[in-house]
Amino acid sequence: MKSSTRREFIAASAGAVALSVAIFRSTQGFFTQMGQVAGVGVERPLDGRLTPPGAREIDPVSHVLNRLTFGPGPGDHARVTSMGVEKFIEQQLEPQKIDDSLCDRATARFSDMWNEPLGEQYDADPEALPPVLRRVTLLRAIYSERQLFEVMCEFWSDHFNIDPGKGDCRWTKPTDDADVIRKHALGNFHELLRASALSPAMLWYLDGRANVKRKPDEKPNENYARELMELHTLGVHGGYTQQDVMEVARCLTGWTVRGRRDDGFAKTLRSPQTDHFAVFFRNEAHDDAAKRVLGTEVPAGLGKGDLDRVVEIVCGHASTARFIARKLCVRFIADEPPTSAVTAVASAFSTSKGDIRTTLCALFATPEFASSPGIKFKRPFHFIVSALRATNASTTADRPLLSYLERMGHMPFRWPTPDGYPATAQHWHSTLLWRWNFALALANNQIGGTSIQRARLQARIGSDVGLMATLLGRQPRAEESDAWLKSGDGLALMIASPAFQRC
Amino acid sequence: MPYTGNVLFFLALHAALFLILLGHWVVAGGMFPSAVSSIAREYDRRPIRALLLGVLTYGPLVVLALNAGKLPGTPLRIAAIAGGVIALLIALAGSAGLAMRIGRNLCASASRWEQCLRGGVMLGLVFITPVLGWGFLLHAGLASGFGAFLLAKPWKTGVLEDSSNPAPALP
Repeated sequence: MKSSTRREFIAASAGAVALSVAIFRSTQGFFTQMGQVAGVGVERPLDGRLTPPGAREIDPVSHVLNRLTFGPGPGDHARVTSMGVEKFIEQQLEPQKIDDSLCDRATARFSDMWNEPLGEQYDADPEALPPVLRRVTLLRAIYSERQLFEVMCEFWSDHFNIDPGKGDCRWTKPTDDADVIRKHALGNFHELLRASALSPAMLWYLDGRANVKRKPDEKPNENYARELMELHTLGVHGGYTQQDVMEVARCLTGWTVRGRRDDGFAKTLRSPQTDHFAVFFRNEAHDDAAKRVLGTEVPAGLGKGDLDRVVEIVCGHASTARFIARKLCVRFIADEPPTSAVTAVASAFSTSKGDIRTTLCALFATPEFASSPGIKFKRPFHFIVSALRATNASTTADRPLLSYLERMGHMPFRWPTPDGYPATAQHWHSTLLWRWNFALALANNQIGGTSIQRARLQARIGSDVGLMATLLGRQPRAEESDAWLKSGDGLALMIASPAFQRC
Repeated sequence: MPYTGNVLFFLALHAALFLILLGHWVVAGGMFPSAVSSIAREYDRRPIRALLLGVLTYGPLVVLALNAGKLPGTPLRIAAIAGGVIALLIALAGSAGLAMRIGRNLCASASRWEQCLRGGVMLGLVFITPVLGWGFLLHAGLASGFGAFLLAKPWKTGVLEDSSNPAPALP
């Protein structure tokens, strides 16, 4: 061996060590980038100005971000301030024009679920589909820039609640989510209702598929007709009678869905594998005589046209406008919304013939909406998503995160009855302990598959006060700043604080 | 406690790294035995200089490729990744010289590709040593391979064409 100088040896050794360290560090970044491309560990970019809210009370920008989204992330306040509240609302009402590539990346791994034809989903593991739908829903709420759209998807999912645990709903609920809820979330209520009535999942869940009149003495199944009037349109005090329920049930006889098993309701038209879950109309199982719904005549012989007549009658009813308006006001204004706001929103609903965008515009324009900051108690789903967004968390929405929702009783798509998760605060007050546990775990990176870059976030925002303001949507009060310093874990304390529980 | 799946994952990862390294070394030794021999001679003559040269040349190329995502513009990113991949392939071919050198000392009478295989098995086991192996020795080995390749200049000496012994005559 040719002798090497000591200097060469030292330089080579030091260089090799430096190279190893550089490769190690670069590899970490490389795998993070690859993960981001693959949709694992996606993080909202912390670019642009991250100026936190500067007002002492919740300003209109923070208020709109709190209500129209699942909570602002770092930089959102500055972004909306620069574009203006009206422009932001306008933008959110046109979700198809908003670039949502980050959310698409985060959910791309699960795209098989909604790209496959419904019939082929029958081959999927029935225990796998609902959890995937829950993860995707959570990821969309966290990462989507189309926040109002996601908020409305949550709203309609509760309004037209379907528990995937019943019958074939575990296979059909993902399609209901895509073709009914998401397709019409900001569209027209009439079309949304019609799509829901003909959704395979709804036909299973509320027994619409079993609503048949094959013999003169056969009684129609009233289950769906009752919920259609009580929960989906008129409301329990909407002015309908038991006779109306029976008449609507008669109108809807004959609609069924091809099932997995031959249970009698789709017996004669059992289809090949590819047609599983296809919705179809059985003329011989339909009551084609004349009916009278809410005082309006439905003539005999309309066949499947009866459904359109029913949708037209119930959607055009004043009680429906009021019922939907009140529910929207509860979601966006207060648990006990002022009558004046409900009336204004109901009027917009009626005059626009159920146009959801117009209705929401009217709601956001009410003075009652503007004067209601910080009085709504976040439901657990909203609380968890807002905490993740505010801390710019990176998550795969895996089991450890979902388990917090489960413990708080707000796992998406797991409410068993058709009325959906309660919208008002009273039901959720008992979840405080688990909210605090969640805040501690999140702040200390103790949730599997979920992480926050606390030091980097704090450095980018610039100060403790800035981070507190980002979380609270306003400048912290003296006692809040004091508690942040004294608690030893200011971030956890702030997420668990009463101010963050409200929006 | 780690999950069994995690243990199996890391086991498979180490096995894959071992086989990939071994495969490249044997292929290099089998295709370009003279070139690999000349690189092995550089390891005899000036291993420290090979390492130093490798650190200064191979290092930046690989680090740049791993950080390609931070570069501005797609063409620059593609160029950085391409440069890194080419550097890695050269480093693998160069480190075959180190494998051959080890193999030669283990069994001098074996043919050159066998020396690569024998030495490669031992060298591969060293490189997959947890933390120290894949965290330091692997990078140092590859960098020295790249440096030894540059020092041997196989493209000038014509050893790249001198691929192997003539095929034996058919009976």
